[in-house]
Amino acid sequence: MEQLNSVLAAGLGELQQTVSLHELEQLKSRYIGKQGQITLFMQKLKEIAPEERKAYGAQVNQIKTQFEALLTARRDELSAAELAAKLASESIDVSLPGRGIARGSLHPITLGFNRLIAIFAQLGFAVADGPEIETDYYNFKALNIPDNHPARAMQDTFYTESANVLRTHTSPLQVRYAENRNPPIKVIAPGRVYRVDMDATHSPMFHQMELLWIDKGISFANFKAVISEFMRKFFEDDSLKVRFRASFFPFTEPSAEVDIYFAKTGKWLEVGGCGMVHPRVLNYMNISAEEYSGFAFGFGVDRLTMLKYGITDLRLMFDNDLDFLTQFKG
Amino acid sequence: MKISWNHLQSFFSDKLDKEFVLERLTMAGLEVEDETPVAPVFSGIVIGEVVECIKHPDADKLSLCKVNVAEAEPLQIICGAANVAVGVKVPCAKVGAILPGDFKITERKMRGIISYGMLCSGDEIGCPSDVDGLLLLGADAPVGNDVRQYLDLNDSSVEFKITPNRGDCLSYRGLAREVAALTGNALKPAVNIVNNLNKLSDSLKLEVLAVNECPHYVGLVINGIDNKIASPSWLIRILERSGVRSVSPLVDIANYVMLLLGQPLHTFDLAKVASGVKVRMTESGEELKLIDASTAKLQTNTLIIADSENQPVAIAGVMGSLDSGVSAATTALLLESAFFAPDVIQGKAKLYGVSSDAAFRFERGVDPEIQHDAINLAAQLVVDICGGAIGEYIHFSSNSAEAEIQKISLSFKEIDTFIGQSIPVVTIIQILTNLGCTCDVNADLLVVTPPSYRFDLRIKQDIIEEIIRVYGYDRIEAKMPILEHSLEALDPKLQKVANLKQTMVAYGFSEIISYAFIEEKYANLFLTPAVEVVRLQNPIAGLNVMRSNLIPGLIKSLQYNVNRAQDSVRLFELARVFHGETIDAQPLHLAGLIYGKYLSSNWALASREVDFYDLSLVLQELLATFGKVELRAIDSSGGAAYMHPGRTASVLLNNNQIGYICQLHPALTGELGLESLPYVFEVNIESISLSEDISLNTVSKFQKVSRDLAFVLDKKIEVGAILQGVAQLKIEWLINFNVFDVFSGGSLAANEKSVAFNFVFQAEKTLSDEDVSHGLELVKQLVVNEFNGSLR
Repeated sequence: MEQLNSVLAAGLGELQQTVSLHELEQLKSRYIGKQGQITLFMQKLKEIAPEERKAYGAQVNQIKTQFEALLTARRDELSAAELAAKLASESIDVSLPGRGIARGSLHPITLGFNRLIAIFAQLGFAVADGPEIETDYYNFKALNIPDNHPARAMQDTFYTESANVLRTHTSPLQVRYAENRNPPIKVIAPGRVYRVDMDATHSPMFHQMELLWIDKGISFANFKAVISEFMRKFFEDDSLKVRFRASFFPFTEPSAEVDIYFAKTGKWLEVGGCGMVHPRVLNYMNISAEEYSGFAFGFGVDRLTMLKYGITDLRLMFDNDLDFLTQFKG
Repeated sequence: MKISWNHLQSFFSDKLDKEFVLERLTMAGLEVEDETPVAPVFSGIVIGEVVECIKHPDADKLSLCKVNVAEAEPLQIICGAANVAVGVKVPCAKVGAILPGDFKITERKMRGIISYGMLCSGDEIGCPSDVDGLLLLGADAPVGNDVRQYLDLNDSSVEFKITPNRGDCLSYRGLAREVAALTGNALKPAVNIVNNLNKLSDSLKLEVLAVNECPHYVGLVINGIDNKIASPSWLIRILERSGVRSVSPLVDIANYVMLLLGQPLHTFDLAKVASGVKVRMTESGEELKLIDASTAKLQTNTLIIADSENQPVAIAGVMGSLDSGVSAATTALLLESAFFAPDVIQGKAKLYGVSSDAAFRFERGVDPEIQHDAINLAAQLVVDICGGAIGEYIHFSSNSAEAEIQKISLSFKEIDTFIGQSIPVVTIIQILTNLGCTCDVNADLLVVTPPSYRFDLRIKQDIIEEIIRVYGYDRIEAKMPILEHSLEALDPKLQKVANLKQTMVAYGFSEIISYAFIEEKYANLFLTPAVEVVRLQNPIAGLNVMRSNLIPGLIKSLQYNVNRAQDSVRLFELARVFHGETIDAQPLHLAGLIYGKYLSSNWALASREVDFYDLSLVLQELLATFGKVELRAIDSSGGAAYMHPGRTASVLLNNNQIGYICQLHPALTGELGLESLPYVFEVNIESISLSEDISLNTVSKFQKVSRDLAFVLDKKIEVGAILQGVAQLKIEWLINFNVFDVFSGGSLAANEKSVAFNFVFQAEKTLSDEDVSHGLELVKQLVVNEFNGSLR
């Protein structure tokens, strides 16, 4: 029996020395294989006196079981280590950038429009679209701006050779949209507009959005609320200061300029014009000024977008420099 | 409208709070655009009289002066100006004075003699004058008094942006009335203007033929005047601070009265109009020599003043002729003060290319009741300044003009509803009364009669605006409208545009925005066949053609970026193009461009130049959600000049042609300065719509069977046609087929190519070889019979 114990001790010692599964399997075969050292003790069973056989057998079995258990544990250890080594050898540099074609970008003005449209969609506004080469009628006359009226000089107009105009504002959409519809009318009209003006702060083509809301009982107090709230939502600043300054537009009465306050600069900045729709314009829309009232608001989208994204140079908006554009992933 | 603040202040007894007044005016619609002090900061400069002046003993160019500054002893001052002399009164900076630029005056030894101060030029105190050397002050200037006080330099010029409806505010009096109404500061009582219209002329004849265009006209003769003298300094000062240059006493007086009251006046040399004037519309073929010596060809819609010989002497309300105006030689004057209807003056200054302060006022409207006040005041000033004697007057007034003033009726309830807030009746009446309106209240009804100068007040809304403008827009509480909620359908056009843009972005394209107008040169390079070209009458920067396609903008942006070292460029634009001027001729297009490397340089993959198929895939996928996409080759006769004849296809969506895809024509290489020609596509997106109706195929759980077939074909055969042919066979269980290899060369003849196809079959059962071989046989027959191919 002492012999058996010393074989076990030697086996266990060797077991701890194994470094690979291969060695382990060789060890297994040397101890508990058919000719294994421990197996040989079992084979000697028949040589043992019958009265001792039972105890002897039990003891050899116990030793064998013990050895097997430790062998299995060692096997698990070794295979885990081998797998770890294999995976370690397969590792890659995950910090390298991905490859292929990168996503492009939406123009910041598109992002600006998307914000505006999303905000007004919540209030159930429809979206209108119209021509950029516009007739004198829709761009001026139906907006209560007669020929030669000094108000025309407020906007320097591009004329085509056949005396149509490049629309100077998105306001023509007011009449185009409303003339064939009955109130309530809630519509926004985003688009490109044109004026003869080109310097560091003016582009001859720029973007506006028009808002028109006509219904029974729409009041001056209402347009103050809608426009103020809109500005706050656009700039995500619920304490944004918005002020309304009396002004004049031929198509609204009363009229106001809308300014927002920039704490950074301590200055008010003009962002748009608005007012209660002039009864003469309602008339052009075939809407009774006695029964209905409404307000219109027009504002420059380029400027709002620049303010929103901190763009300080208007020229960047139309240079189409990829280093600029690709910063707007949309 | 530019004014001197101090002159505006002179209309009030109480001192105005400038900051407050300007803020109130801005908020009430009279926006302050600019405010500039008339002189820089300086102090300690008084009026000095030179009482003794000798040459400096040790300096040729310096004078040693004694200057009386009303102190016990005159000051000893050394002066280098050439115009210093005994008896002149000049600005004298005493020791301790601070000149502009924070320059402090101290005792200073000059060539051995101490100077106790400095005599100043106009430039040195920020008041430039025409005289070289010292600024010479008037003989009446009180010695020892502060120069700032004497020259009224504690003043500023304020410039207002006056909106076109407020012609009444284009004068000091108009602005003063507005200040009074907005702030409650009382105006001083108006100065009584002496009536100078005493003797109606029987020799001078006035004929007004255009009564509606000229309802009021008054002219007054002043004889024996001197127009050679200089205008008094107070007059020049007010004019200059109001942005008007001094010309001659007569012109200055006319301008001053216009600035003061808002009534433009005209000054004729009486000798030049013979024995009278006629107000009439132009007869055809008439001309007028303008002040700048150019000749205006008068149009028949123009109101003119003619002399007694019927020769035009002025475009009414705009500008007089060169010959009939006053000059230094004028000794007899005919002053004109008239009311011309705004619509007859509107546009005339622009038409004749002149700038006219008179026209600016007439086209906005002038108070129809101030012609007499204006001419009387001007006549008084002429006599005071230029001497002479008041002569006879001529006069016309149409009665119909009186009916102009309209009463406006509205109810207090209407006012409250329109504003969305109730303003007390007393407040409303107070505001309107302060604005010069007369109010009659009858229960809930308010009847407003505006004053003659508020011709802009015509309708109820005008009155409501006046009420809240003065009450304060900021005092109206914002209230959200009460909504009757209704859900709107998704906007199909917005969805379409968003979908297209998002697909382009996902494929690596950046959106650009470029001008809708382009140079003629670009328009010609990228001419769209068979469309009307729209040109502008008044282009800016040579951009005179409205683009008929989106390629020029993409190309310009490409060039811009290539010049900034971008080697892999993908751009798109979605915008209108112009094929005419009607609505239908301005469709929305989407165009995309690829250029340069397929991938920008990276650590992993070798790059290559982009080609047609890189872009055609994008186009296919872009349009896939809108229907069936097909590309069909266009030969050289079908494409535009800028398209590569062998690399151009038309794009069909659901069998309708909507655009094209091409490489640009190699002939453009030099012109565009690019190393290679980009690939572009452009589609009209007006008629396409997102299709939500997907005919869904069932998805089988049984195994797919895949088979390949390769054919040898003539190079000219389009693979797309074979793919279409296969689709039309409608082979049972064939769920997908594709091209996986195309090559030529090797053992193939020069005119041959090999094309390999892959076919995938799947059914609701396990397919056998026989099941698929029937389908493949049909394909073979098609390719052999229809396309003259042979199986490899």
